[in-house]
Amino acid sequence: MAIAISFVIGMILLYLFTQAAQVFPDKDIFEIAQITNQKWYLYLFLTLKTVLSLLSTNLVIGGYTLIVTRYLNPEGNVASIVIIMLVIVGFAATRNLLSVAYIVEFMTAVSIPFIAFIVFKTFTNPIFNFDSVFAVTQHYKSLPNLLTISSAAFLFSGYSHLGLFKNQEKKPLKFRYSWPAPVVVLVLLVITIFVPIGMLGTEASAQYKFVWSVATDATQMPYGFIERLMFIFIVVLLSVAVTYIVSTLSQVIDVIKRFLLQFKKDKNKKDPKFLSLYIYAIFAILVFLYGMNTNDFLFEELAKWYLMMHFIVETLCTIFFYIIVKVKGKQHEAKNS
Amino acid sequence: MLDTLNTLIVKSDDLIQNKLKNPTDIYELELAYFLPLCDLDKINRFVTVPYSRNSYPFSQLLKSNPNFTKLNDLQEGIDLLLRGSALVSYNNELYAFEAITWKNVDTTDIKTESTVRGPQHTISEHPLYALNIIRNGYASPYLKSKLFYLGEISNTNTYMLYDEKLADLEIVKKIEDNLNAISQDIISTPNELEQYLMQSKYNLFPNFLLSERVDRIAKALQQGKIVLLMKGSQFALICNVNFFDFMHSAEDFYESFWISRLVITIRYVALFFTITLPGLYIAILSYNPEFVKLQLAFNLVASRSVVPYPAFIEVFIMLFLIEILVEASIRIPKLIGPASTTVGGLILGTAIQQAGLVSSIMVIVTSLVAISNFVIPIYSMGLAIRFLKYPIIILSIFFGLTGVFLGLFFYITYLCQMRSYGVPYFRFRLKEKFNSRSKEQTS
Repeated sequence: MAIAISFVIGMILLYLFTQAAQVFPDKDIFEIAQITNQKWYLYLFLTLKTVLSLLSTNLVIGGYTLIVTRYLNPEGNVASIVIIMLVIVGFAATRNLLSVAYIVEFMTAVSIPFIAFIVFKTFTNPIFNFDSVFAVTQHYKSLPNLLTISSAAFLFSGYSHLGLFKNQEKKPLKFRYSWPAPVVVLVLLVITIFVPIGMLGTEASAQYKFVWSVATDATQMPYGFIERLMFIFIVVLLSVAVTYIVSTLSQVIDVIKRFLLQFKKDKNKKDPKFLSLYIYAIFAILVFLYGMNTNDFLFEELAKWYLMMHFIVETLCTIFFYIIVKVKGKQHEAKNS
Repeated sequence: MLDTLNTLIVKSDDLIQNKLKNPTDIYELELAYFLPLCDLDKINRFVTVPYSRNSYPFSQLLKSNPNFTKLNDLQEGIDLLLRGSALVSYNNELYAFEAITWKNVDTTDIKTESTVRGPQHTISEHPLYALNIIRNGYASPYLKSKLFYLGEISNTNTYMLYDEKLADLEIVKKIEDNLNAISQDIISTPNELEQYLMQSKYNLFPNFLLSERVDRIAKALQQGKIVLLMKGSQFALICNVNFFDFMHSAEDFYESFWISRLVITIRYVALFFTITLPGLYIAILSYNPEFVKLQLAFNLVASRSVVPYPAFIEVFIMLFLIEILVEASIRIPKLIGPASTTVGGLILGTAIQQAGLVSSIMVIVTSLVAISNFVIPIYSMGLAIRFLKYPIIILSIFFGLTGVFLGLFFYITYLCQMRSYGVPYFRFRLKEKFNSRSKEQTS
């Protein structure tokens, strides 16, 4: 039932966001909050997003490091993997937002065929058991809790990234044909949940931490160079994970930079060089410290808290954004006309 | 006529417009022609000298000489002007004088961008002759040329060409300003000019495309790009290019849709191989031999059994030898050219493997990497790509497969953040959109 509820919530939030975003097509969230004089929203948005993005970066890098040291490179040094990821992510996240949008565009386009291949191979695997899937779907009547709804709704919350990306091009972004997005995400959500259950069974899938890694590890590719599907999965996971971190962090760095530059005394003076790098350095140190001290239990607990916090914060931010734009936006337009 | 002409065609530095007045003739002569396209001797012999001498009534000359064609209006004359005729206006009558000349006598065979079909000759080292070839291939009334003299001492003639309707005029202005700001003593080649026009000296990838092919230059003009022609070089410098322009050969426009797409796909696969294959070899052998099939893993390990040092040492040895061979092949005299084949084939290929210095698989990997690099159509991009594999090798030594793909991600990020005069250098597009003329512009 969490899937259905999260789908409905995702559709509603997407509708609210796209309607609000089109009122000021050439302004992003930061600028809209400034021109409608809603500094409280700016500070709330800034603080919560900063904390959440720091947490998500920790989780993604920490989680990926755990997967690599478990499945790919057991003798690998955790510190070296965390450092190289932080260096590469740092270079990408400190570029301007338009370049980050191009990176996201390209990585999505390149990853989609591999993801489709992984899904195809797992579904056509002879050991895939549809009975396990049907057994789980029988529990559709059980009431969900906040964690399950948050986990499912996380996939529908990608629209929030457009808040800062929408006015990067000369021609502002128009939200045409946005209704297929939640449908596609729903399909992906169903695949994400049911493929490991079908591959591993209902009992075993509850015992593993990284069920997709185990499921793809059990899938062989008899006709190619590569032995197991897990290697393709780990490479795709790396590309998607790094893209996600870069997209999230670049937005936060951009917002913090703009917030700090508001207090610049001499407006004509050039912006301090490498400001993005200094902001990122603080994130990187915190992520490194987490990466060196993480373990499975901490990872799982933090992930649960992150998903629940993310769901609440995103819902509130979207609803407040809609209200601010519709109410204060009209006042602002009336004042200017 | 000249005032009306300037409303129908863009004003260009190679469009000569003269108003001649002979005191013995009551009528003025207005003359317009493209200097690169026309035979100046013929125009002088049949138009300007007879008018100046006035020994024979000029209007009778216009009617009696079959090279003069009477036109009803100027619009008719634009097409003839673009195809090498001179427009003559005398006594409110308009004529076109056939004066076309073909100036591809100074051209050589194309060396760096060979194709099976299409033009086999370069443009000329003389900019006017080059303009003749380009204007014959791109006969548009919107093609504008501007003349610059670069170098305080060399005063090198440099023409800037662009289609005024299709090019981004902000980029045109930026390039003009950069050309005017050059204060060097001598600039003699487009390669030198490229160094002064580059917005950042330390770019990993080339920002300008050097081409000697008239079809590629015409295509670039049609795509709104700006082309620079310099005296003394048969290469044109194409500005505001993107990464994908370097991966396209001129032949892609001659073949059918599916064949050209297949060939382009092969190029990108070769690009992936040439950058990542050595790194993948090290990562698989050193970290994850289980990545490949069991039998292949046994073959890999068995072929390396005689090699006394780790995989990355043999990779560095082989790649270094291949780089030396490629560099030597450029400069080796033709008479002893076969020696390089012997060195490359026998010594590097066979003897080194038999001596146990490298494994046989490494020889195959190195050959594939070297050949894949030359699949890239443009030499400057091939040169840039040639050196991208070394950082990937270093990352694979320390981080394995994770390092290889993080290195690739770094290159993608670098490409996405590059701009070529404001134009994104690497933006994923299924179909490239250029500034095409709208219906009201073409009607």
